[in-house]
Amino acid sequence: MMKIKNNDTNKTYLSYIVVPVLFFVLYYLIQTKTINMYWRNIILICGINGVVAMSLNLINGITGQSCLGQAGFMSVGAYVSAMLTKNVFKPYMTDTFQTYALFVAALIIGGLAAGLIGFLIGLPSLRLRGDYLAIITLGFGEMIRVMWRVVPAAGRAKGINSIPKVTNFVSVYIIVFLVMLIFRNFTKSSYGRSCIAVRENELAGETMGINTTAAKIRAFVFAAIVAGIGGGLYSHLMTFINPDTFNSAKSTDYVLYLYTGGVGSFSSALLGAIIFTIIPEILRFMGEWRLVVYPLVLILTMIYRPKGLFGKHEFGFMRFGEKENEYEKEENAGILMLISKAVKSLLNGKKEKTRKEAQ
Amino acid sequence: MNNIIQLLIYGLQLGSVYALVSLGYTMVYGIVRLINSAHGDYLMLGAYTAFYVSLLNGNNLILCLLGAMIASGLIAMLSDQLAFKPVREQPKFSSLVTALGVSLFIQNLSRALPFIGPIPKPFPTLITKKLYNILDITVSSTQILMIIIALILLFLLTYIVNNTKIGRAMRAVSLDRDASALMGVDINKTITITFFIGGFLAGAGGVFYGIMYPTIDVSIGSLLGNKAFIAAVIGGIGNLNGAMIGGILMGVIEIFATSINADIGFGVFYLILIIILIFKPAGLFGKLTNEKV
Amino acid sequence: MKKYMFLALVLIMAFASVMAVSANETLKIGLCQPITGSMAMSGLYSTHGVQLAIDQINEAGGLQVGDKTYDLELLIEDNEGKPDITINAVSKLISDGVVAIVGTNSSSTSMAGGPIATSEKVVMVSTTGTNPDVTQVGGEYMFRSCWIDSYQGYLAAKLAYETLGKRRAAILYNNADDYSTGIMDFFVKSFEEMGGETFVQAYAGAEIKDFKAQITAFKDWEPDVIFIEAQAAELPLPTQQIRELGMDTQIVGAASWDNELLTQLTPKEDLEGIIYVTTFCADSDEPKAKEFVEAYKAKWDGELPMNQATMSYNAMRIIAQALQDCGKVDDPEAFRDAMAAVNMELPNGHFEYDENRDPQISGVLMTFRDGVGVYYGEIGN
Repeated sequence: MMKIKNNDTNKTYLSYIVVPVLFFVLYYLIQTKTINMYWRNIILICGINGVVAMSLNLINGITGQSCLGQAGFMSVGAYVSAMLTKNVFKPYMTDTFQTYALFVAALIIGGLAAGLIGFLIGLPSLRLRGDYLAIITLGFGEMIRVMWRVVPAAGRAKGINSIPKVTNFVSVYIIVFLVMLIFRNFTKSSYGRSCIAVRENELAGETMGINTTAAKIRAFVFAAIVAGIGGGLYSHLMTFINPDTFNSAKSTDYVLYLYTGGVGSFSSALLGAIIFTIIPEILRFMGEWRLVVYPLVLILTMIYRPKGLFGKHEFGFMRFGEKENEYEKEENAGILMLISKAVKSLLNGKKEKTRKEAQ
Repeated sequence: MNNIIQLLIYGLQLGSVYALVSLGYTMVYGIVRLINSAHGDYLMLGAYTAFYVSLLNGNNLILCLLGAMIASGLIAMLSDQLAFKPVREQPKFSSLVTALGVSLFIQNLSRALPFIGPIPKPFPTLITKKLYNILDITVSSTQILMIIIALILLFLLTYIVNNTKIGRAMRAVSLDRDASALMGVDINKTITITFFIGGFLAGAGGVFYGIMYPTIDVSIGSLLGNKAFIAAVIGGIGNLNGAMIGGILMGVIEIFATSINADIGFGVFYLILIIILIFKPAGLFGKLTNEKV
Repeated sequence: MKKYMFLALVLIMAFASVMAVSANETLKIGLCQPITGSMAMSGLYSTHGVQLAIDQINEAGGLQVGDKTYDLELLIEDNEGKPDITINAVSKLISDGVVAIVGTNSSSTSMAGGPIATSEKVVMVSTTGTNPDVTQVGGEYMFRSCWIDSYQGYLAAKLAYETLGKRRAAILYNNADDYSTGIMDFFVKSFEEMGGETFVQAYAGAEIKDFKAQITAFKDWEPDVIFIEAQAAELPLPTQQIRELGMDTQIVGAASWDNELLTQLTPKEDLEGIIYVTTFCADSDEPKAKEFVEAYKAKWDGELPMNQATMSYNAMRIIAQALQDCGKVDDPEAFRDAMAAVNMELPNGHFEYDENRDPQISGVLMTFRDGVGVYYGEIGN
């Protein structure tokens, strides 16, 4: 069982097929209205939450810092891009091409603004670590929220409304996929590896000549840019944002998505976000008890699957198509592994039985 | 000038509630290194216990206080046994996530339970308020009582931690868990008792909160817990005197910041936290431990 | 498997029992309100109001639309008082096939849900979303059964300036709450136009419980009237603290004060004499109002109908009236036009929409005597 297979020859291209097929299937279902508006909305929110959860994984999972202020980054992206499209770009959004070109521009500018804030929040991480850093990022997130309340251009408590509704399934799907690709390449690059060095052992990394300061700041800025883009998608889906949308409870949500999915893996962050966005909606029939079951599921996940539901597994294309060897599979210990193991043992048992019967 | 002294008194009163809660926070953190976000929810449950005790037994301060403290202590112990103990050996952030889950669970369960519910409840008048006017400054009997009880609890706690067997065990566990286990300290028992004491203090905090702000609802704990944690961090987490001073400092700062500019008063709270931590990463009275490779 | 069989059985039985009672077709009405969360009290009152209207219609044999009679069925979705959840809840209701939605209780959630209702051509009637922008942002399918903040703020200013003859107003508002911020703006504007002086202090969010710094600032400024308006659950603490700090200045407010929660949470002596302007007074002598109050009290164990319950009841009545007027249930545009043209009598008086789909509702003054809100006087334009 523990034999380590050769990685170079065994490549799996499964996800290269799954990604476009899933896209076209969902797109078809949405176009034909088989998936109703309610579920379409939830699918889009799943994607957006996935983007932000993945960005959090870059800080918490890959670089090993602790950030509790993701909603703050998100709000900067959401506000800046919404103000741009609503106040500046709207007259020029005449045809489809221009609309989406300007939307992408707004998302990027929003993301860059968030990146600037990410730089500021990243600075204390140079001096602080662990729980202290967590509480500081939480504080920064709350300060950003308080700031939006007193900025007249941001509509104060009322927030911004009538934002053009341009976020759709195609844009969310493409951005989720792009973000995954970019994160994959980043993690495999020397920049990403220096982030991992910071996570594993900062001091040792430093003695090996890695610029840990730069690595940490880079992770914060990069994650903030992506979270800002997620925020931009969010505001253009909701068409309405106010400061309290991005409160600390929202930051907490992303932490929960990440850790229940599986910290350290972008795929698990995405899956965690999808599952834990859908669960409260599925449980709607339970009324107020759904909000009791939801945290219970979280606690049980942490107790019985401390590495998260999906462990450290990455999708095939996130590993450049390289197959995970058996040892890594054991180590990562995702729920899929568990299921496949159970199925295998069941099948083996049957085989043995038939063998016995044959004898 | 009178105004400044008056605001200072309000700040002290607010700070004494923060201090009570942050004492419990700091104790639990010192021993299990866990930001227990459910700590504020123990406070909320304590306040509700006091509400029901007074409904059954009349407005008796001592009885309500005892009921609330014991109930919160037991719930803290229970949450430790059921949720935190199984994840104790896991990486640190997974216990933080568990704590966030426990906090959500307690709040949402309380909302769903018919006898707590989402609708705010009036807290009974446990102390008759008397106002004393000294040189244009108004001081109320509750303010004095609150500050005194907070101080008494602090001294009691300091005594327990410094002079009793269980206190010595606590200090040992917080210093080095493995070594103290080798020396024969029962780690689990110590942690359980710490949780009980933390919850005990939170329960007292809940009653004081109710006396000061006699409208209780399910969400009172979460923000107060958050602020109390910040107070504990500012004082240097794990340090009892630090938590006390941090709590009172935060109360005073909040009142003054609000009086200067009410719009952003709340943000100032976090700004000060950030400034203090950047210049003194271990808080005002904390000791910075060197990283070992 | 057994579980599913049981479930199917229950469903069949439920369906059969519905079929047995009446042969009418059912028409679904959605209610989107905070059933959980800090504003759950409003959701509860709103449910009471709408349920009463629906039961009255069903007991009278159903709703006559065109040549068919329909029984009304209420579908309730929780929005937790949050804009993002509102979007899910409204989408779900629309996907479940409701003809109209009652809700929501706050402006921010109404502004989040309204555009969805408009894009799917489903009429939505906000119960107490009073911000003037609600119907503008929500689009042409967004209506409301309440008045708007600009008018409410004006009436409150008029109450302070003319009725009570006050000239120096101190205002306490929640800068995280769009309702509180909006009405503060309109109050200040109207009061200053009338010739009064104002002094504004904010507090940062519903989680703030200590107002002593703000009240100390009030004390220095020496106002002769204090205006406080925010969500009902936030009102008891500042009121108590103002009295505790030895200020006996007259307090005035607006519709949020018309909530039983306040009388439960605040000691009688602190509430005594506070005057507020609201939309409906349960003491009213109008026959239509009396009838409504009696029916409401009988249905909900003697509870008095307050602002939220009345507005929700009205919203349901308006929807029913518009459905009858348009005579079709499958033509959203005709339904929408019928809504805009609705012209009827409701418990709190005559009801009609203006061109912005905002109703004209007259205000009534109420005050607290011995812990209960009672009639104080009329207030006009």
